Amino acid sequence: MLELAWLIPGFPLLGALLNLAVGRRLGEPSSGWLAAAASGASFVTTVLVFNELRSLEAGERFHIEKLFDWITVGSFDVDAGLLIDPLSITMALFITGVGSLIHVYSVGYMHGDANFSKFFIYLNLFVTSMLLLVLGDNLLLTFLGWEGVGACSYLLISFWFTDKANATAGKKAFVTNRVGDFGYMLALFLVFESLGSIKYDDIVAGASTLAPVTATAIVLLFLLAATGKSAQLPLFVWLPDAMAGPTPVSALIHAATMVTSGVFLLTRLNPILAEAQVWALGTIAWVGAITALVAATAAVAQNDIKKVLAYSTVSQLGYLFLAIGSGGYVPALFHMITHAFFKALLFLGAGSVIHGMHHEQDMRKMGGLRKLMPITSATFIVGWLAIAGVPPFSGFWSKDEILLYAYNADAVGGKALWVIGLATALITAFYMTRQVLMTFFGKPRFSEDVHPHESPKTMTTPLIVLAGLAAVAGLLNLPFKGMHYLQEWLEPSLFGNEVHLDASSNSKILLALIATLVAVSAILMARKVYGTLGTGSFVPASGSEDEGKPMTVAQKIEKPILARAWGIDEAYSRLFGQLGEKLFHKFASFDRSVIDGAVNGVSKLASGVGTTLRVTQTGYVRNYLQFMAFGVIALGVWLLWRLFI
Amino acid sequence: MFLNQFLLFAAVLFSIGVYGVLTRRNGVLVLMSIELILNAVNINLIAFAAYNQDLSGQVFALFIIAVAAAEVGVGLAIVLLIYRNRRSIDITEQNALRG
Amino acid sequence: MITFQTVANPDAFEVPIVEWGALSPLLIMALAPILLVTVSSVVPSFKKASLPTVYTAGAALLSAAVTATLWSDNRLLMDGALTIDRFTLVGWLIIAVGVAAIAMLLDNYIVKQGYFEQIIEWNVLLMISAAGGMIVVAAQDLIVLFVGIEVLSIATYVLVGLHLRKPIAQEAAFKYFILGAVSSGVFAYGIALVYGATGSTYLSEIATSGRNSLGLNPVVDSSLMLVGIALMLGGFAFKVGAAPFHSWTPDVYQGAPTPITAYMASAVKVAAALGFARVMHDAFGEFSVDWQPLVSVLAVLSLVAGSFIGLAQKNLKRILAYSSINHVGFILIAIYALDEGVEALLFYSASYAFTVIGSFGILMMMTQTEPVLAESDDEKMVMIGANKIRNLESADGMTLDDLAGASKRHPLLAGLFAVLLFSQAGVPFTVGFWAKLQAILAAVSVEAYLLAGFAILAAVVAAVLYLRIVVAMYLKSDDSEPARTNYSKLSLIAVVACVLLTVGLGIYPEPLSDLVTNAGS
Repeated sequence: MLELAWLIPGFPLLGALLNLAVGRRLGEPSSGWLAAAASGASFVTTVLVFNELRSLEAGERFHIEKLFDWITVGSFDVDAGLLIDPLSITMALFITGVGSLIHVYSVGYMHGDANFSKFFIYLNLFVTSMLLLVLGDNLLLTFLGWEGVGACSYLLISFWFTDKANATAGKKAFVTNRVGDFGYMLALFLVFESLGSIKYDDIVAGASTLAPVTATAIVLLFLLAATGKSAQLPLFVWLPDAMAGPTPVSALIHAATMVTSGVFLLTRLNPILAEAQVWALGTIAWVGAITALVAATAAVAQNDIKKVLAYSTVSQLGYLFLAIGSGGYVPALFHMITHAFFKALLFLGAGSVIHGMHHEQDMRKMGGLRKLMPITSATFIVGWLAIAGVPPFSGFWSKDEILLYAYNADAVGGKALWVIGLATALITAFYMTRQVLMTFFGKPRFSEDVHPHESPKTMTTPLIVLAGLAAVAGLLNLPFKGMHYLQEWLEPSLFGNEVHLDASSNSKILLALIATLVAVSAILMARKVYGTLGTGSFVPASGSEDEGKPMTVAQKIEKPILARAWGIDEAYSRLFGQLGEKLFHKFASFDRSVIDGAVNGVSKLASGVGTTLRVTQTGYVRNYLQFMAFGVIALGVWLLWRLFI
Repeated sequence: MFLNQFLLFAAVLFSIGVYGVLTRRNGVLVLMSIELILNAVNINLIAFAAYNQDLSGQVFALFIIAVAAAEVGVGLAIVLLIYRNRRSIDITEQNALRG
Repeated sequence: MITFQTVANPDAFEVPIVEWGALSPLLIMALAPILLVTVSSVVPSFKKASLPTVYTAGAALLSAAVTATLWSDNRLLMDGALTIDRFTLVGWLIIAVGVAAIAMLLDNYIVKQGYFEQIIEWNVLLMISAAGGMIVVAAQDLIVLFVGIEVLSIATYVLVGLHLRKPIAQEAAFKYFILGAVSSGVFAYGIALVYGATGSTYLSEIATSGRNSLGLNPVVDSSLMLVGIALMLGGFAFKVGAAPFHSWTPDVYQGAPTPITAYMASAVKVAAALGFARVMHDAFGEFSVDWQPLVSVLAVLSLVAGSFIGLAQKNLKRILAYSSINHVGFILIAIYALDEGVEALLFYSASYAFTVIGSFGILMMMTQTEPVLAESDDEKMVMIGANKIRNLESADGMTLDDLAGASKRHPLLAGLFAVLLFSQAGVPFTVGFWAKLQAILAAVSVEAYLLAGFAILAAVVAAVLYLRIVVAMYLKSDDSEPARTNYSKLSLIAVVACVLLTVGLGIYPEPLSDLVTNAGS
């Protein structure tokens, strides 16, 4: 079965090619189903490969399936091969699994779009590139996947937009990712130069021969690459803008898969991380922690339903970096998986809301959708509980693991990291509760001619499946004896570089309790602030049909509170809202002045230099001859100068 | 006679040629200056050939004479064409292409 | 092994053995034009339709096919004046296939520009020039090299100016001619000094003669050699268009007929670059510590000039001209790396050649208008003699703004163009990515990290250069209708072949890297 692993990226590629050939003729919805089938077939293959891999001894679970000689130049000899090991298959499983669900969802979501089949070509190509990224057996193949997912991401961001807004978003995404790619290229050359190979098995074998300084340099360069792709400080700015794309794209690319590739890369290179100086890991952890906090703060001040989730994604990805920096590869992977489930769920839920609301994304114009969109709201609530870290939903277990590792990572400043992580958890639960309340509870605030409706089955079925997964995915790696399934499974890919905690179960329980307490209190705080808009307590607006009806007991009780509640809201909004807003505006202006400024500045500088140099191009032969004469004289002087000294 | 006398002579000739190319505005005079450069090469080659007692330098000189003839032929043709279109062979007027 | 004659014993002259078989690709390329001239003057009907184009492309492809049959040869020919090895053969293959593609592009151009009467001249000069290029690639002797360079250049001067009704073409030809002739003079002067310092024109003998061959004062002796190297370096740098010897490139590329621009940017540049590498490597290898820093400076200047000045350009042909200067930077990096860079040099040259041919070819087909002889108030009117006439080739004046909506007017060509531009930018899954990767790897393997880092940065900046063109074609919407598509079929085939190679070798580059393996001598 392992030798059929090439089918995993093969099926989506075939799907893309088929749709390219006959997609327009197939039309809607057949071309969408074709793409979904291709993705599904890939998922089935991955499951079969997974089973095969499980039947092997743990030590043999590192299998390289060579496809063909790819390129040979002197000592630079690279095969195109697939590396089948627990890490890559775990990634492939949730990429194809979540990917297939999103394909199905998209059949409903993209209904009626003029470029229906084109969308699925891109989607299939994306899945192919992503699978190449995780399955490639060398850094170069991973880089091709890396660039491939980037290209698909630009194409899909700009799918609906051909105007200036897109150009700006696209430019930002392009430039920040270029910076990251620059780091990747340099790191790749450095690995080749120091190890003589860029294959992962050689890296595993040779990493211990690396000088700590070299390893540190490699790690920092790859970190630069990862911050670009995984939207971390300082390169995170492109992700919120990327929300211009269709929502399934945001779910698949900008939440579940592509943005995790930086984390995957660092995990894959764990032997090199193990050789690096400790401050390199510290840098990773701190980048992650600070990003998590900053992005969470920014999420509080968002009113666009997708922007909240976008910042939330940046923040959750920060957790993954925090975990890696603390030596917790398994918690990172664990949270990556649970996050893939619940964030995809939340995005798709948001998409369903947007779909039902006729492309309205402003949460202030929503409210009370719980009754009108029961499935969407029920599944969204599951996602909310998962991300907020309420036990026993999946997010609780995985986030708790990360905090536990951070707490114990004393070498890189563990306790401070833990506090930041906890604060982030608090804010996360707060803004997510705010989002749920603003969207699904309270009184409808949309205009009368909008008639929200539940989405079709193609869209709700993936939601239900993902909600189930988001609820129970914690089972993968429970912190109880004998239930560390994921940890045991991933062991062969980590080569003992994983930190093993010897924290007593008492302190574990204590930390978990604190986390739960924080999550629950944040939810309660948010309910205080925004819940007053909601449920039955909302005071009927004059002129509505509820007016004149006798007030319920709840309303009678809550009416006086309402006024004060707003006061509390002001306080909180000063604390969270305004602070968040301020921070957000700070970062927005940082984004404008520094990032955009850098982008524009660099291009201005470049064209300025160009314009200056251009003056030399006078059009007169005479001047050109003078250049040549000076050039030749300079060459001669240099050579003679060497002779005489 | 010393080798360096020839080399100096060739160098002077070469410099005059380059100077001519750099300063003349008349296309035909530029062509003539190029001839000077090539002839400086020839003198060098023949001087070295004689000094080294080796024939290939002289052979090379013959080749350069032939090449120079072909080059001047093409050069004059281009100058003529320009004259036909613009009624002028001032090379400083040839700057429509720039930037 | 190599005998050469001196005045002292004229009787010893032996006619060298001519190995016709090994020379046949070169002979085909040199004799086919003579045959074409003869036949077409005897049989006037030969000028019919695309017959001369098919003839030229056929002869060039035959030359390429014969080259392929020589694949495992590795020996000296003509008494050591030429050499047949993998390096030569790859160069011949690039030039021959390039000429075939250019001839097919010319098919479209000549008809559209109303030059059908001169179709024989265009093709004949093209083949003669290519034969010169093939000599340059194979030369093991400086005399032969010089003759090759002159044949290559003189025919190209004529080709640039062959568009008789286009004044800027003449200006371009004149500039190219003057600068080219001076650089040839400089180059020949360099050869003379090297000959004086070593007493030989054979590369292998120059290499073994050491630093002190004349037995004169060692300082004088070495300085003759070093000044010779400097002058030859300058000459080569001019021919490949490396900064600061690049200033002719944008002007001439813009003014020349577009298919000829494609030819200059591909076959001419590749021939010069390979000759450059051969001389530096085979003859001056011992002096590499002296000239390597110079080559790296030229490389950096070319990377900077190419990408930065390119960004300040609006004219499409000039943008592509500057991009070719940028490419030269990468080629020079491969030359810098000596043995480690030979494969990278060949890989880069090959992939660059067909990418750039395709790019200029598409530009030509996209922007060519029908000849308009009537008067118009357009600024594009130019005086030709006493007549006012519209500038016939709009590609010369095409700016980025003119490209807006091109994706709608020429959907197929715009798509193909985008692929080629991505390849030039070094985007993965195109052959350009591998080419750049190899050049950078070559620099890394000789521990020129600064150069490698510079190359990566320049590639990033240059990517913007190409992206601007793609953006202009696609994102700027315009209510354009699809244009009448009456391109020449042959030209379209050539362009599509270039794109297929770009993508095919981008996904699976092993065939090309196989081809260039073991090319180091």
